[in-house]
Amino acid sequence: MIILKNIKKSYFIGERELPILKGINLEIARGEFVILMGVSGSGKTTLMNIIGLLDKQTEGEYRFMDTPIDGLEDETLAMMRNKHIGFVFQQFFLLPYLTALENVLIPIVYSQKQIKHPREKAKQLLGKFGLAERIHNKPSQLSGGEQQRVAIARALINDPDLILADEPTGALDSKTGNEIMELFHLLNEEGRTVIVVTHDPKLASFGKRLIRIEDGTISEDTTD
Amino acid sequence: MIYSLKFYFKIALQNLLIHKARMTLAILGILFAVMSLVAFGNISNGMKKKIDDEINRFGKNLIILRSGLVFASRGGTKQFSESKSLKLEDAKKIRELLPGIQESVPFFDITYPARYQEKTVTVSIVGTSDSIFRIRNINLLMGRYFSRDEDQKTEKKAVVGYKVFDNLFELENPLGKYILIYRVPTEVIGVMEEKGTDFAGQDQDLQVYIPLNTLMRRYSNVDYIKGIYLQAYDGIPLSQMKISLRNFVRTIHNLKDEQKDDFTIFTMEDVVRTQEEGIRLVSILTVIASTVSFLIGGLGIFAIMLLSISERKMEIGIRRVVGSKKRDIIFQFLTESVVVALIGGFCGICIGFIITMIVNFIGGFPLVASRNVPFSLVVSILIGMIAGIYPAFQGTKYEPIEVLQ
Repeated sequence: MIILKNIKKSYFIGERELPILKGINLEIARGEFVILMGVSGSGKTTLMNIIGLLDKQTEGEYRFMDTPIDGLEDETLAMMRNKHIGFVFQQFFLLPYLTALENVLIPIVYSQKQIKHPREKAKQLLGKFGLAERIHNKPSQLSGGEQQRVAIARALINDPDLILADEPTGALDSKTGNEIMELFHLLNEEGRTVIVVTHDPKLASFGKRLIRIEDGTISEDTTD
Repeated sequence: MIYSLKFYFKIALQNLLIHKARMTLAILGILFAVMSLVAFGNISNGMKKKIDDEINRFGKNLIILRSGLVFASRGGTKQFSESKSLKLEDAKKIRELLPGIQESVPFFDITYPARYQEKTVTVSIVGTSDSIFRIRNINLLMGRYFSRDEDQKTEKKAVVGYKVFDNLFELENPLGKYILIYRVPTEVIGVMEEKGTDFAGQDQDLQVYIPLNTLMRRYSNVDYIKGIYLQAYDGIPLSQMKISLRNFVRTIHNLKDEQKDDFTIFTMEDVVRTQEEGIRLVSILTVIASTVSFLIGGLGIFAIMLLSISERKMEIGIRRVVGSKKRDIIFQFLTESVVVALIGGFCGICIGFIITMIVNFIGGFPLVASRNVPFSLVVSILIGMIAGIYPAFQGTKYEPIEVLQ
């Protein structure tokens, strides 16, 4: 599903080249549950952005869903994100003036998949995550864990092939964080591919595969 | 597409509700512009309708030729000099020889008391031909008009105005009764509907119409007439008709170049022209005022949209992440600025109509909705779009990985 070959990424500050990723080789197959671990500045977020089609590599080859990503236009990438990837972020990024239900429905607006009865599906997802009573609440009326579950429902509304979570527990207490990780575990059990990016070593045990990034290269890749 | 449009409308409205004070400021310019356009358009339509109604009630395509020099205005007619030069044949010549005239009705009018039993009322006695009833749209409350035959035979028949009937007869049936005019008993054969005061200030309900030949030969014993009502064919500009009529009458009266006219020509339009010029002047001022308001409104929306977009970087970022294309972002924010402008437009229309109702009530004008209503809505939409384009494009400059860190 994901094939990265010798991926390099550099930022330029004036004349100076600042290499972030220094040749990443990685394959992730359908159905995996990967924890991508690294300290701040290791390049894990940049790697996630490239995998999530939000950023482009400077060098190397990336194939996602058997499609070479190099040279695709922004519009095409947006469509692919909408169709194949569900994103979950540390800060949830729910729109404050929309209800939980309306937030979950946002990707539908841009979707070319014909999802039948999207509202019903959104309600069903929120119900599954224990938010049946909260669907008409605004984010400000929800706890952090509830907000993150709304965000996960939003990530799932379009039936993505991949769930990509960036520090999903970073803004939560450890108990709630564990609940969220259990949720990812459950989704993986249902057959979804999940990648969780984190700096928190305590999360390592939740995944089936651990990839550690250090200074722009993969320093460890272990599967249970 | 329909789904997303609905969605964007909802988002726009929700954002408006969050920032009530700010949005109120943003819509004010559009609101004032639309309000003034709508109120002015409706009111001037109502005034024009009222004037048109007056012209129609007076008689359509009507030109009045009066003997002597007369000044006609809303306050009444003033006679400057009299003349006995206008003859009955003149009316006939005009009808037969002057192109464009379909009807020519001579008249002789004089103020005189009319009596019935012990009651007297001063009336304007108008001797004229039977065609007058048609060209001046005179309808009867009861009885009948006099006929051409009765005019030829100089019969003493009278069609009286409403106030004449009301003052002399009260509840009595006037038909077949005789009133005294010039001490001559004259049979009442018809009563006119109430018509009010005509544009020249004459109370039309205090008129008594009798056959012209009867008046000239049996009552006043004159060989001249006081004037002619002329009706032009539809589609001929009355201003042109007046010029050819003047030349024609000067010719048949053998007036030399240095001699002044011995007649006056006027139309209802002359009298109402000053009013219409007033309306036109106000309309120019309204257009200027509403253009300025629209510009201010557009700038307001522009500023508010820029502010709104810079506040909503996160929203733009997350939308882009979940698959929104740049053009979706543009579309969303354009919808928002158009909705803001449209709300201003709708409020403006409502307030404009309230103002119209008040002015119509005071001025007694009928309600005629102006084309300015749809026009100002279209302009509002355009202003919303133009004001929203630049901010919407600014919104596409935020890249998700930059704004979501």
